[in-house]
Amino acid sequence: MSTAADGLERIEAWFAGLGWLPAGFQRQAWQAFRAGRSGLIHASTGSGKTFAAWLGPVSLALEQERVQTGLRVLWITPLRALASDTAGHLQNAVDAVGLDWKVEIRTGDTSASVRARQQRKLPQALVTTPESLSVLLSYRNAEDQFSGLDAIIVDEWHELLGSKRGVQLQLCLAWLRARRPGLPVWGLSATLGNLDEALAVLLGEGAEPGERVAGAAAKALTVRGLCPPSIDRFPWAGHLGLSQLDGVLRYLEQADTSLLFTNTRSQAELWFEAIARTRMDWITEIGLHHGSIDRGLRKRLEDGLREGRFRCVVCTSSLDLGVDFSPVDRVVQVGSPKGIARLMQRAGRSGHRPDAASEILCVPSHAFELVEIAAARRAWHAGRIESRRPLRLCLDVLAQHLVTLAAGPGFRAEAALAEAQSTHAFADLTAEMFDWCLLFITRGGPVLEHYPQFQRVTQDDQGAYRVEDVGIARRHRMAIGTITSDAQMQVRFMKGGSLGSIEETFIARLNPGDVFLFSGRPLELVRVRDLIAYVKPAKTRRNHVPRWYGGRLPLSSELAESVLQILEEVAAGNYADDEVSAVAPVLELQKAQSSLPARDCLLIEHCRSREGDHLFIYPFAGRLAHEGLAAVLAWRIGQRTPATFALSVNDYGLELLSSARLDALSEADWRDLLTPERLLEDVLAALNASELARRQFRDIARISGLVFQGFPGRSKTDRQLQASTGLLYDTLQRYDPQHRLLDQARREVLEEQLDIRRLREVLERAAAQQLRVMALERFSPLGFPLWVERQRSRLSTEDWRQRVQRMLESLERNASKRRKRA
Amino acid sequence: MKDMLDWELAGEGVIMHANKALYLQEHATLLVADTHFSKGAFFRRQGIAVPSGQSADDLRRLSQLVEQFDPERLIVLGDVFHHRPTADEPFFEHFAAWQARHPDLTLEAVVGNHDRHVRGLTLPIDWHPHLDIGPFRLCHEPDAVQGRHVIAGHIHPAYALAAAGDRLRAPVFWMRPGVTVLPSFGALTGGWNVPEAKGSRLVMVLDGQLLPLPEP
Repeated sequence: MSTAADGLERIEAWFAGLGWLPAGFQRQAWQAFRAGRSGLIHASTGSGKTFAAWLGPVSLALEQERVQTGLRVLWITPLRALASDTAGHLQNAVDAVGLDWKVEIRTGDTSASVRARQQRKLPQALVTTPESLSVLLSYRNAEDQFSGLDAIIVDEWHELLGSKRGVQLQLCLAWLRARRPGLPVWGLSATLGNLDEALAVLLGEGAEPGERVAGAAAKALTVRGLCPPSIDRFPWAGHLGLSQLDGVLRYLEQADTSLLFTNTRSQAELWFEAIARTRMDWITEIGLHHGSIDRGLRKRLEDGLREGRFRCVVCTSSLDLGVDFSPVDRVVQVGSPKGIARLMQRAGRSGHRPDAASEILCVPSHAFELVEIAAARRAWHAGRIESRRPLRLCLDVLAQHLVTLAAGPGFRAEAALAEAQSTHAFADLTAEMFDWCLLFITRGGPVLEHYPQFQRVTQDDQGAYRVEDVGIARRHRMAIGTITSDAQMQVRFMKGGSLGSIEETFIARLNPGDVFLFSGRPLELVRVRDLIAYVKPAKTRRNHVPRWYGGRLPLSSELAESVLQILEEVAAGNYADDEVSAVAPVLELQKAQSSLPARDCLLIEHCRSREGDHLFIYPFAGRLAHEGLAAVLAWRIGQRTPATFALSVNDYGLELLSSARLDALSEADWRDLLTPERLLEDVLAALNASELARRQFRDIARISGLVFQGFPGRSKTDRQLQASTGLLYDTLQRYDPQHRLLDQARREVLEEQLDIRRLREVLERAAAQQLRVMALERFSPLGFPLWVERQRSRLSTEDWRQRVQRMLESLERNASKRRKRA
Repeated sequence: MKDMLDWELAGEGVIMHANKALYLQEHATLLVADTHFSKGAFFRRQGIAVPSGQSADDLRRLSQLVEQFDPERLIVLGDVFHHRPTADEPFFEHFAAWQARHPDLTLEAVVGNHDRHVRGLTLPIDWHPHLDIGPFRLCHEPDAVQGRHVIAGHIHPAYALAAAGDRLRAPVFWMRPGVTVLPSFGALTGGWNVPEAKGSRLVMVLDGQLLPLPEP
């Protein structure tokens, strides 16, 4: 075994043997790691970030007299699908430089026997997810297992940064740091608007400043919109864009291997089916990949992609991240990418061959998206890119973490408080909030008589908090992974064979005999038993496509700004981009019928139809902020005259529909309705009337352990512990209204669901904007998609009796119409 | 809308009550279904912090019903308990108080699937596998029985009324030819959306009021 400081030399020699030269940023990262520093490496995919982070610790290990045992390096990845490839890369590298280390994986997929072995002793390097790390901390021997840790590397940190999983990871890192002071932590990230903040969050409060290492500049990217041959036949709001199929197929024909990204799993199903139906000759060369597809199938697809066996794989964000599929030479994006960073990340999945450039074809799902595509290209060239905001004070995650520690090595209150406060997420945690969390997990809540017989975490005679009941500890471990997922149901053939899993809420809407499209084929639901949906191949055509939640990202502000800038140019008669020229007929129609939105002018349209009165407003602030704004406006108008509104939002604007006539609104009225004053009060008042907080409570209840969600194959006892989160929310409202998690639900609705920051910006901006209120005969091109989309939520300031009365009248009317027709 | 509604089942007059109960006038019998007592306590013992109070509230509502109808018999259509209660459960105290308030009434129940958990426990309840009263078969699961009108629970029927761009979901009484299903009585119980079908009638329970829906 070699000694002395030649670890780096051996690595350089290995590179040289392969004819490679380490990149400057890789050497910079190795040196910084060897100097004991922490940091963040940001570079585009495929540029060698993995080795930049990995070989620093490896170089030091090479210099050890003896091969170390026990866990030395912890590698965190956000996606378990990436774990095996990453582990393979890491293992190959240590093998090649002659370091006798074992790299293993620990994720939800790891077999029971491997888990048991790891339970006794971890390998030198472990690739794992934030959830599985949490699970490792929930065993009694956690302190021993991590006592020799030398480095933590967090891959794809940008993916975790803005999520509760990121908060969970911060807490785990704080626990590890408290046991290994000075432990170096390195993050790997794609380009972000707030890299400095990303680094600070990773390292925690009061840490030494870390090192930012910038990778090689991204290579050239071509972004192009698919312009339909004729804009007249183009569906303005048909949200699938399948009419573009021919153009897409022609593009795919030119490629050897391509990825076709869609924004949702339902779109992926539809596109896959359409391609398969049109090009029967490709049937063995096309694949479908999304988060609900059976893991084994996904793995086979990924291997096939790497070997270049596929012509085209239709996928969702499930293939956004991670390993490179070098044969991919073309990428197609269906629907708006919603953000600049995301579009570029997807584009970057192509062109990994040395001489190839990255290229992405964007297929708009409605005409206006052509403008978005041009806008994204411009913003990218101008270097404007989105930030990801880290979350703060998620008490549900803290409560979960505390139970994790209690099930594992146990914790003491003062130490756990200090650790939590050392994270960015809980830097502002007060002792009082922390005490509430403690009471929540030990007594159920501060008012003890509310929670007789409650048991979860107890204090032992030495004052350490522990979970004594093995059943509670077991269920807690099962629940740790649920931060990410909705209640899932397995989809299986009657004859056996799993197809993947699907949201329980979707299956719940189906009756036996209904046909739905899943995993690329039409299936007939036979029956549901024990969280398994049994299906058989359907003979008839489809009638349902599963609609999955999530994936409804709002248009980013950076992209919205860029869109408005283009619209202003169009208003002045300038068409600088091909995509924008293609949509000229629609834009000119909008200009003629109504007006084009601009940064200094807020467009409002009023229109009357048989359905009632429609108000359209276009702040271009993304669907989340629009949802909040729609609720506030409906509330404020309702304060003048009680009314029930149907609300529809998209990324450009919002629609309020009242079936009763609305009084005409003057500019002064609008100024009044759009005032930023009393925004919070009005949002909260509007929320009380709607169901948003109740819905948001779903995740919080799951994470904090207030509901236990089912798993296939769970025991009877576990099944009887199911309760709907809505019911629980009502119960808490009634019997423990001071509950802090109810508070958190309301706060999260404001910050995440309604994007209150952006909402406030919209109103503050509106105060300085000119208001252009147009009375229209019919829907404008911008209003039409809103009318079609009908992503409805409702807000009512009417008494429920009035609502019911109106619904009954409407039912009666429809029924008599039907009778007349018959 | 009001909190009581006259209805006819199997040729007899019955009264629906918005507290999710059905009163069989000709037999002076009050029916409720799926009380799921002690559900919250079971959750708490398993480490899920559900506040208490529902079972006590449910008993209070039951008392109100008893005092209003003054029935000769009170029958729960199964799933009286959610899970096996422990001896120290506050429910027993509440239940003892409830009995003291209604000394002349014996609580009767048909056995529901959840009630297997209380097998072997001595409880002041008269259990029946099922009960035949007049033209009715009282049981837990709503399966049709030849020659009788079944009144049952088990499925916690609910309905989402949707029209004019609005939507409201609430528990329902669900009447089909030969089978009537009561909404679940317990406050901490969920609901199952019933399918629409010709020949069936729904009466929604909305905020303490009954709302018969038009026939589909």
